Amino acid sequence: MEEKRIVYDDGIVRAFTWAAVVWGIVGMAVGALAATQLAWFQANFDLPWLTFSRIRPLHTNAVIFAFVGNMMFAGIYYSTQRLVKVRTASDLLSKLHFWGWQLAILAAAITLPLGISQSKEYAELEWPIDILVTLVWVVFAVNFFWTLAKRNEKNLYVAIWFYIASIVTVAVLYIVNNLVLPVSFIKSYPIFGGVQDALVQWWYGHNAVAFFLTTPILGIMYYFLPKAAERPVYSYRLSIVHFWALVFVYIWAGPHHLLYTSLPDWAQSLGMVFSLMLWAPSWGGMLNGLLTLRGAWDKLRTDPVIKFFIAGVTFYGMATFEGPLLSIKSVSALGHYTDWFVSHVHGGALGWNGFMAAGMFYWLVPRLYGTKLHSVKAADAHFWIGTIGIVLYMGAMWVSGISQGLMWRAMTPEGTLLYPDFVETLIAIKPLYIIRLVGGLLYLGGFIGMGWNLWKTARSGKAVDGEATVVVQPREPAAISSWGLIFSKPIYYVVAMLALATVFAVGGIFISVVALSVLILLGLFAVLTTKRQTGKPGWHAVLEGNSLVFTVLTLIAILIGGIAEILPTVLIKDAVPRTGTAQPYSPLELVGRDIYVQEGCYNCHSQQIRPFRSEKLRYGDPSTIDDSLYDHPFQWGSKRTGPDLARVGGKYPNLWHYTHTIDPRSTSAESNMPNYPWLATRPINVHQVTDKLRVMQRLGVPYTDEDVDGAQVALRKQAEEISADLAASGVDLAWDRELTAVIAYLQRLGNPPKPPAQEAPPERDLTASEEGG
Amino acid sequence: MYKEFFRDNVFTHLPIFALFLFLAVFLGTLAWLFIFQRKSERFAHLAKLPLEADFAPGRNSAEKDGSP
Repeated sequence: MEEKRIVYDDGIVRAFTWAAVVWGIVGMAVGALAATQLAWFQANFDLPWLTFSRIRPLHTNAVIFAFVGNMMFAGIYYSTQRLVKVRTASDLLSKLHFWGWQLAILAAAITLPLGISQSKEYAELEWPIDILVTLVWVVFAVNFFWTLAKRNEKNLYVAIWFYIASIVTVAVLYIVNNLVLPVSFIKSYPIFGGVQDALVQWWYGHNAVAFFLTTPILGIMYYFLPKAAERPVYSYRLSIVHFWALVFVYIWAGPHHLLYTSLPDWAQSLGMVFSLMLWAPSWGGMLNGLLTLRGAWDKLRTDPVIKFFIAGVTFYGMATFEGPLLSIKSVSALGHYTDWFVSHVHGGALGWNGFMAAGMFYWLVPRLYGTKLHSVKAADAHFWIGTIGIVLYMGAMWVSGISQGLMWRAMTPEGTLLYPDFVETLIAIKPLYIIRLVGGLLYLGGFIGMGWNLWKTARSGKAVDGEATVVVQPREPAAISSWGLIFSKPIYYVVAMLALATVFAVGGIFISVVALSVLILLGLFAVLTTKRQTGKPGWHAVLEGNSLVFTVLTLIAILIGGIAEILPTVLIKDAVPRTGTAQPYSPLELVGRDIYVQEGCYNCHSQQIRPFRSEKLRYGDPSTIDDSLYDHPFQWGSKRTGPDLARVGGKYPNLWHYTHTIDPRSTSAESNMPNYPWLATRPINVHQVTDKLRVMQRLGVPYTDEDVDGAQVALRKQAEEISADLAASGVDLAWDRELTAVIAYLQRLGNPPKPPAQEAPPERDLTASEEGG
Repeated sequence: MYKEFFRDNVFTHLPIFALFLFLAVFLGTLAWLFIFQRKSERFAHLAKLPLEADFAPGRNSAEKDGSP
């Protein structure tokens, strides 16, 4: 057997580590500013690029992709090299990965405050940056899989499985959710619209949490926690169950973000049931992490690394308990659109991601610089300050969210709303917004302290690259070929059981009972008859040594859920009856909609009225699929810091909208909405509206060629009417200002123009269209 | 509460039964893992993979004493 000396590429680990620390401080500081703005609107400073609705996406993107992204790349590069006992395949690709990722972050940091946004949460970046991100991800994937191909360790450790799942799934999610048709270099429309866009977006949004914020960090947990605890993972068998159950189940749960919306009910129920199932694998993983510390719990008192890891895993357990809980329809009815969800996501982000990152950095940086941590006491202080910060943050948002939910639905004995003015809830929760800010600042302070501690540590040592001597074992032919792994009993059993589960889900009572019975019997049969031959590796052992087949099976596991949920909804014309009342926006309304997107209004205003009595009283009739049929992108939103706007059209005169946009306090005292004075002075790009309609036409929005050719004339005509109406009230607003278009769009919401009397009824139109098609 | 979850289903007991079946299978798997599992040399070897230490000049003391 040959021995080989390996020098690992730890330079790339150092680069990603420092990038994560710096971007983490930036992202959290922007979050603290956003929290300040919610408590005191004056902190928006009437500056477009500093306004809450533009910097909130900057905060989420910075924390997710810049902070956690760089942190996970650091962890992946460090652990993968050591787990597969080989230096990263290409230093050049590693550098391209690092600098490409920083370039994408920089582009995001510039474009998002400028209002260049797709308005899809955590996918706001416009198409040129999406292409850059995709290319960088490909570079990362090539480098990673090339490294696996060159490995000196036959079997892939569980952490590597989670990295594989993250790489392939994020690629699928990111590409599908960012399929757009460009209008210009900085403007595009997604190919999906309305309910389809909503489902694709939340399939992405949920699984971005799953496969960007969770699975890679679980991989990091499986490597760094045993390393810090100096003992192996509690149960390697459990990690196998944890991995396959998690990657298969997670992908189905996206629709729980759309409960009680106009998404088809079957998709909502599917999302909810799979969310409940997620409890099991998530807690299986959490227990595996916590029990790794068995026999070494004393380290929890003395070692800050262990403190951060154990608290991080505990927050993971809490967040993965709360997530399924919030997916239950009756709980979602109370909590959705409220600050309860803000509490939930920050439990995951600050507790799980932030603490796992801190634990990893405190363990890693001394080793990357061949020295000891500068101050263990400072690290301990960071832990306690951070923990207190999280408790204050989450506690405040829990109380705030449940208060909002209860106040929105509270009724008088006479059956009217107890708090009919939305701003009453804002007044009630303002103290909690201040407590949230204090909690966030504490957490940020602790994090900055960590940056100082790590910097001093690095300064006390010098950069060193890890080395190891490995025994290179000759590659023996696998006991089972790649095709043999795929065409094998375990795969046959799984496919048969999935087919039976599908029959159970869609069949009538008799067929469902039969399918379920056969499924149980098949499962028992599989367990009782599967025996491994002594001395020969089992099916999964061989699979762990075959990275290609492992990756393919992982991809299939995540595609099953995605396809099952998205395909029927993309074919929604056949799946869901529509009222046939949908009409495309006028050119001015479309331009106004784009400004609504640009300003990020969806960050605080939903456009989706749920079928509850309180919501009907407050906002109007429940939303239907037709209300947003031609919305590319959809604007349903996920949070109500302000009221729902789905049926705001015609509710107030143009003058009210003008006044409210310039100074929200003039119409709603105590509102925390920012002022948008620049909308009254900035001109709209009249010439571009023709291109916009043409792209929409290509996406299936029923604009005629005459509509496209006459778009500029029609825009001006409608804008002049609004301008004249405002002039009659003594307000001077030129027809070609952005605010004119925004008013036109807001007045259209839930208030489509009446079809001319001589035209055929909508139902007949649809039938004729189908027959003609 | 479960009737609310599945209020649009005619037979509410079937999905509930399926959910409990899933949980029972998962818990059964855990019990099998924790209680009945045999010692496996392969798993023991794999589980120890992260514990293999690097060698780098000037860094051994930090690795050995386990302190951060």
